[in-house]
Amino acid sequence: MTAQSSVNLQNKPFYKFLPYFLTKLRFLRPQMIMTGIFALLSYPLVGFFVNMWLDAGIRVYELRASQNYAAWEMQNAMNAANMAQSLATMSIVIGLICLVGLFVFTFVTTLRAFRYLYNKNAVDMDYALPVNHNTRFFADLAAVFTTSIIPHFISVIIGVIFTNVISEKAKVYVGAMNIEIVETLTSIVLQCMFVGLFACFMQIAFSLLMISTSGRKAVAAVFPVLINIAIPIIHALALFITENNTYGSSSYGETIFYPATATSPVGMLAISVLFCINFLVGGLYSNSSNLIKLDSTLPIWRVDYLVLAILLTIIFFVGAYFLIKFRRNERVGNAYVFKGMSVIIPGIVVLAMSLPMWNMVFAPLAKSRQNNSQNDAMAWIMGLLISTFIVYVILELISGKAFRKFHLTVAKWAGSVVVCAGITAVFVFSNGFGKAEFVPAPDKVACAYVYVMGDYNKYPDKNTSFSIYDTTDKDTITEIIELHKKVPKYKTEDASDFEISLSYLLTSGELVSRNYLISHELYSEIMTEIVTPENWYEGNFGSLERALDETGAEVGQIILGEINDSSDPKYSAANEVYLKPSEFDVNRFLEAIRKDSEKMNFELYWNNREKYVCTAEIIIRNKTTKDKHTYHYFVEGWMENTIAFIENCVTSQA
Amino acid sequence: MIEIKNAVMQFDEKNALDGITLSIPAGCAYGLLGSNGAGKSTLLRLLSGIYKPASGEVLIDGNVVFDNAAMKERVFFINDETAQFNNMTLTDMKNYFKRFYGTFSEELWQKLYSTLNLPLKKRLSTFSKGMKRQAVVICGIACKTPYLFLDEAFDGLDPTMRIIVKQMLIDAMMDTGLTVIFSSHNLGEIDEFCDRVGLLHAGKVVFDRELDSVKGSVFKIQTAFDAPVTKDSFAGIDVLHTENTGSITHLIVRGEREEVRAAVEKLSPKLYDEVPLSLEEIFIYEMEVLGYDSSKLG
Repeated sequence: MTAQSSVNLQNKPFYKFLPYFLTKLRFLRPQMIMTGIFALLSYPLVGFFVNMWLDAGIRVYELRASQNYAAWEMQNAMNAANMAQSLATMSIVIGLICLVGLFVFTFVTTLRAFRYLYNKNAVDMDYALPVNHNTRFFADLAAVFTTSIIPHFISVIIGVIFTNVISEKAKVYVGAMNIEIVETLTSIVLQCMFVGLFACFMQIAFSLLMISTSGRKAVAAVFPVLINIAIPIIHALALFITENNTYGSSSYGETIFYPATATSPVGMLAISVLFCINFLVGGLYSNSSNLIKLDSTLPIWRVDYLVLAILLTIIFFVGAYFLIKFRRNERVGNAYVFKGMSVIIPGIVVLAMSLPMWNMVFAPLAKSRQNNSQNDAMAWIMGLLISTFIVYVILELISGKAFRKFHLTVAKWAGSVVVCAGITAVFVFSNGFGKAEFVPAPDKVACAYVYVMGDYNKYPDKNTSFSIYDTTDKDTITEIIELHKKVPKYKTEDASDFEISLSYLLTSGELVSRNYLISHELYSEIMTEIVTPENWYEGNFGSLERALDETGAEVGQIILGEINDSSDPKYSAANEVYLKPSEFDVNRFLEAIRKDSEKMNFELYWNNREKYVCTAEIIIRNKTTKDKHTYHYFVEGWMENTIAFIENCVTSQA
Repeated sequence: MIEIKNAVMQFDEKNALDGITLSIPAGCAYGLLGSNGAGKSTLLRLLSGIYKPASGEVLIDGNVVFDNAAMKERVFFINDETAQFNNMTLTDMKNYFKRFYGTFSEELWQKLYSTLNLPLKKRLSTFSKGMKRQAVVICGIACKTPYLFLDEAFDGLDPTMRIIVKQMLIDAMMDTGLTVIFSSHNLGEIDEFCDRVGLLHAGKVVFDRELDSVKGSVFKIQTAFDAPVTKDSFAGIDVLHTENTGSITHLIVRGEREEVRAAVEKLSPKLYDEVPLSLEEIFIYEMEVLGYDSSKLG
């Protein structure tokens, strides 16, 4: 026997990287096959069948257009189109299932590749090999990417090609009118594909971070899923609770939940789906001039959310790298390799459950919600305690607890519930963490809206409400912001029958809406400032003026009518008078109104509720878009120039 | 050369290894003895770089093993479980180790394989426990690492296969100067195979000596006296165990034979006879002193 002499062996950073990577890749072969199947049956399958459907549809369209076809030829084309439609529908259903499969298998692959984190035998197998932490971590990660992300990426690339082909064909098929819709849809589909890919990427990082704290298979398999779901719930609820309990907050839409797109893989997918549903249902076919101009960019592709998501993904990876590096292998077999996790992880699940229930208990106590009833508090607390206790016990069972020290489980649960109450209270009583005082800077506002109103029942004969609607004019925006600054951002004693609503669409895409009760004095002051000839004219006639300026616009018909008893009998002759554009020059009508509007002020406005002499209904058609809009106006007694113009028209026609 | 200096390993705040210090020369066949839970497997995992000591040092050839890939390439560890290889065939397993150990000898593997009767293409999950052991052992030997650590290596092997595997290890030691550490509860095997043994109990080293020295220092005396004697009668002698059968007193003593004989003869025995002990008997008596006593069952 020969004795081994002492040797100095340096630890090379990526020693045996390739053999280890190839070994792991071979180990992940079943996952790779499954991922490949899912990838193939998602975008490529859907793209292929939708493309086929479109081709069949175009064939029918072309036959119809040619008007020279045999009946059997059309019948065959229709049959082919119907069959292609069924196949496309089927492929979409399968595709969606497979996309879920891709997302789930990304987690399964990560779980399997890093099994030495929770499997004692695998610890011996992997850690006894001549590889170091760097080799093991990065080679395993590379194997997960190769297994999960590469097939997914190839599928996305095929999907992008199909989408563009389909889009180009669809543009021809749908005609010029709907090209914008096709382009928007194409953009959303392409964005969604990359959201799916990014979500899977983040899923690897997130799952790895979670698995690196686990020491048992059940914990490693179940808890990352639970936390992945809990985080977007917590994030969205925190945003909702904060917003809802901010003094003056109103009319927040689903946009307040959008930040949750950046903090977890499930959140990224859920918010993207929410956005798509909202966009397709509410936005695609709507051409109304809402304050919320729907942007077709998915929230995750907004720079701030994207940067946050990338940053968090990097943090997850770096966190996992160091947790795995410093974890103690001998703790594998325990539920958690880091002791604090046995409190933190179930605590996160309890937080997701208890946030809404604690909010129901605390919200009535918040200053901003003094009118709410506290009668339900006991019921919510009971429900909270029972539901969280049951879930907590189940989580402990998953962790492998045999409940020999059941009192410890009860103590941990009670502690979690108390901490969750504290966290909820912070959100409820924070008054929006300063958001209540927030007034945007004029250069950060893309569009603004203000609506001032009084109690109709108290002032039935007065014009109490006035609005500046969706203004993009910088001076008007500045004016609105100055008004906002004057409004107290807390509940005042003299605030009574008057309200002011302010909404801003910020250049970042965020919607800020506030609604405050204000005093009569402040109401008068604000109305004096905003009821100006320009604002009154723009608010009433701005849209008609813009419609007339549009390419292809033409005046259809003008109907003058007397509506009710308050109308001056002098103009009763104008009741239901139909005029042609040649008999009623709309531009001259607007000129007369503009001249009259010079008299407009708060006093005139306040005292002239429904004191009109006749109505004017102007129909504007657009030859290009075939759109038709009816503009309805009250001609009031003080509008001398306008009345004179109308009288002249009626007389000429007679 | 393996050096373990004050190594501590903790499992849930309990010390599995409690400041162990050991020195194992290269080329040695070292047998690790100990009760269940004494820390044998933990020690082997420390030496293989699977675990990192909570404190203290584990050095092989002067190098830290944990997370040192180049050092680990000189160590092969066969644990007491083989389930991790269940999805592999024997060929897969051979190729698996071949990829990681640059010193792997295909020729040696073929030679070792030819002495066994193992299927090449069947998954290890279909193998019996003993067959799995044979598979891992031939791979371990074929890797030709200077250090080979075996945890319960002969567990599951039939008597014939034990002889074959033992011979394989002896050949490897002769050919390459392989240092072997193996833990076993079969003390007969350690007795036959090892030239040095260490006894662990409750995470501490009870002794670490040459096997001959262990066997020479603990022995049995059969003696008889006119008057009755107790354990206290043998002051100055390290008596591990006493037993009286009629007029014959059986003593298990630890120490130098001459010194023990001189001490006993002062009591004028009618009979004095030294009987050598097997390693298993030494283990049992040493453990009895430490309170690990089978007689408690009775």
